[in-house]
Amino acid sequence: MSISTEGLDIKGKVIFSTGNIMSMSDITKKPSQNSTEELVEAIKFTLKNQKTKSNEFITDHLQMGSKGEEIQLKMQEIGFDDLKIGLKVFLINDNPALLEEALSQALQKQLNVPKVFDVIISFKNHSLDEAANQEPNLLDKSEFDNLNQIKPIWKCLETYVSKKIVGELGIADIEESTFKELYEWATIKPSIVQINLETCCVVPPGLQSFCKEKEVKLYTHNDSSVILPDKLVEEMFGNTLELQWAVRFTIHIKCRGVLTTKGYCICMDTKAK
Amino acid sequence: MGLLTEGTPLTWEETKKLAEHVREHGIIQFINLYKRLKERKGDVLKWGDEIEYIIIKFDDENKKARVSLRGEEILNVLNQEEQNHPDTVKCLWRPEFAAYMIEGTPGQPYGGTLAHFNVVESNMKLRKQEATELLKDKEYLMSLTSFPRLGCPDFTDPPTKATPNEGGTKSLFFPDGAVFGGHPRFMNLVRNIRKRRGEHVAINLPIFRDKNTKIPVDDSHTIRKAALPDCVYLDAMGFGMGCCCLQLTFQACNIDEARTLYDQLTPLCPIMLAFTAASPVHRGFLTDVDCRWNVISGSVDCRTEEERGLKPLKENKFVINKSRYDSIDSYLSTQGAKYNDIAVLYNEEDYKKLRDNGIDHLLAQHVAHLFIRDTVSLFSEKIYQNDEEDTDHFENIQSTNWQTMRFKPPPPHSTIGWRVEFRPCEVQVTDFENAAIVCFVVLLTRVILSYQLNFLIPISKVDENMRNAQKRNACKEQKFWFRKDITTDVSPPEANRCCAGSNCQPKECDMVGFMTVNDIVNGKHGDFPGLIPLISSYLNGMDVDADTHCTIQQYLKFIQKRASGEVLTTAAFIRKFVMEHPNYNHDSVVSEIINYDLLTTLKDISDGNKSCPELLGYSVTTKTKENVPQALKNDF
Repeated sequence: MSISTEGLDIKGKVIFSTGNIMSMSDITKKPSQNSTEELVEAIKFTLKNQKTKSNEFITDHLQMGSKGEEIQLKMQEIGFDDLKIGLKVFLINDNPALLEEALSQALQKQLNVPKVFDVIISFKNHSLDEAANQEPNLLDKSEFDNLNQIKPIWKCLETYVSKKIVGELGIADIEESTFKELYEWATIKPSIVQINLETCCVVPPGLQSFCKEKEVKLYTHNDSSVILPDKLVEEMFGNTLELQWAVRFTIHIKCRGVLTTKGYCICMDTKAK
Repeated sequence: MGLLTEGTPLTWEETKKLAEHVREHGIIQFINLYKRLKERKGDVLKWGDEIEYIIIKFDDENKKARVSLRGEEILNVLNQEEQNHPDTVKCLWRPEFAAYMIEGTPGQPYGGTLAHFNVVESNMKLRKQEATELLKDKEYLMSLTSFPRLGCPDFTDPPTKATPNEGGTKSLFFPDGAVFGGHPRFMNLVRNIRKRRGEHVAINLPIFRDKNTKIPVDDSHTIRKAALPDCVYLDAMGFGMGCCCLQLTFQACNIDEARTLYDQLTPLCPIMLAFTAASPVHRGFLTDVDCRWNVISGSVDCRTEEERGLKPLKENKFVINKSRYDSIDSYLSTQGAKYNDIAVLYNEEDYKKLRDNGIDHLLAQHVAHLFIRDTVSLFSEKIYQNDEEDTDHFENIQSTNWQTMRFKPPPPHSTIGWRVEFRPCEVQVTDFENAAIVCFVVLLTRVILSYQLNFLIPISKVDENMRNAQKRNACKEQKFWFRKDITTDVSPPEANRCCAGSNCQPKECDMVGFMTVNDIVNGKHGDFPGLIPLISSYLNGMDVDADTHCTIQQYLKFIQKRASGEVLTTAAFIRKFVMEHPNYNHDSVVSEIINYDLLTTLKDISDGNKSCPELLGYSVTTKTKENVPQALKNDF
């Protein structure tokens, strides 16, 4: 499991991009069961195959991994209008600045696109996660159980929709009642609610009928509650760093069920004391 | 069997005289359509399934099950609905070869978003329901690959009699009355295939040897020299074309994608044939094969003795290795070219004409190869055509080349694009199984395109797999050639060199391994990722609505279980049922009462009145629904 980041004395902020994992044959040969496994494999693959010289200091952070050239080339080949690009942002707190950073990394640096079809947010408070370790019944508790925590993030997302940078908004793993509150409160209503694949056969009827009534898309995901646990960050990048955000981009060819591109950008920074 | 041309059929003698005419114009028609449509692109994914059904009539008093010959009557009513509401009808119905068969498809093709997977099973149920409403008491619609006592005395309702010395079929067992009479095409095919061949078609299926099995099986071998004493002998087109199957058609975005899918699905044909095996009983005997494939192949084998290599060539041009119903002989994509390692016969002048008109070698050879078959069905109204507009002569030959895969050009004057048809699967008894198989195959095509997978192996190995796929219990016991490294990385030069040649031994050519259906579907640690794990991984990157994903999960679990042997194939289930029946005498004979009980049981399973974990597993309830939900209608 241990990965050598040879010669790299990683301190301070790092943004790491995997590039398109759909074209990594090592990953295709070992299909992952969940996103964490997939992300870890992709990071390892990228670390193994990219020369350290491609790392670059940009203003305040170290940029590692793919610069997105291959992805951008592929999009050009297929044609932007035929693509449906979606983002999912994994956040650890309600600081909109981190959300903005994640979106800008994906939109401008990796993909270099003026707009995406949708953005789904997933919010995981790490301190809560640790609490859950001690008290397992907390695990069942969805993280989005408090509208006040969502509000600053959602407000920020809404500005992207008004600027026509993002088409639709979605949210993952949210309590039914909180989702309804969000729906009532929000100026730009959520179009998507994402639930864990494990629960796709036992969707709460209330949520089901609410979604039907409001024409909200009830999608599944197969993401662990913490996309990249501290332990794995430590193993791959050293013990001074912790995850700030992660963003996954998926690019589909419209109406053909073809997934051409999938990748992650993650941001890590020195652990808060 | 494709669209039916209306009209007056020509006699065999007339048809034979026009064979060259059809060939010449068919080739020109293809050239013209190719020039018109080769640049067509940007088509979205559309797809659909076709299921053939048998109408069974249960005689509870005498404990007999027979096929009911009311297909035409029922079709007339079903087609009325289509005529009245062509745009809104939910199911389409077509005649099939036998008078007891009908074919049903969804009213509209399914589209490119995953939510359509959740409509498939519901539509299949609807089809059964629609047709069932027109049935009489004790009649029942079943998606059954083969009727176990087809060709036995008293197998039809109303009763019919085989007429060995007169009529079209001239079979010892299969009556003309069991052929669909509502359209002349079918009986015309029967007659012309027999006449072209110069004798009865002959299928010899090795009998399953139980402890009391009698050899010779019956006295067929004393009547017909083609009959082998230790085989179940079948002598009519109806034994093959009277079987049912499950087929799938996909629209590709352009001609190149169609060629890629045609090739990539080819190595999956034998695997899916073994996986869907459902026909171990023929003419009332348990045989040693599990599938219909070779039965149909033999049942329409119109090759003359010369063409079969039994006599020196005099009248005919070629010795041809396969029936016109068989596995494909060549790949079509440039990636596939180096795996074309068996002879592809064609008329030089046809090939040259295609090449001179700008058609590349692979496609030219494919089309020219289709045209080594003579027309066996021609209608007087369709002889003289406008080759710029019409494609009937091309379609005439194309639609009577019944192969594992079919490469389909866009029809004239339509919005339909280049398509590929996947034809090996046997039909299953329940809608759940059929929907699972359909979704599995369509998902595979998406996975192939998304990950740009490469399943290609030398085509001779696909043929070897086809032979093994039909053997008894192949799904569980046989090993198949399959490509180990399916990523599109450049393979090592030695492997490439080796696999370009025809003498490719597995040990020299490491990219091809020997795998069970379980290895292929579920994966083999360190060797092969498995089709299901690849599909799951693909789905994780897609927007799938919860209900659809729930349904797909039930399907994939079922596929995994059947591949691993945890649940039985239909063929294995039927075998087991017969062999455990109290009236079974261990003599390979499937008697009236066994047949009746078997079909009653299958009917109850199909209805959902009887759970059958050994065939289906425990979770067969899906969230399938009639329509794509409103919120997902505008999805991409």
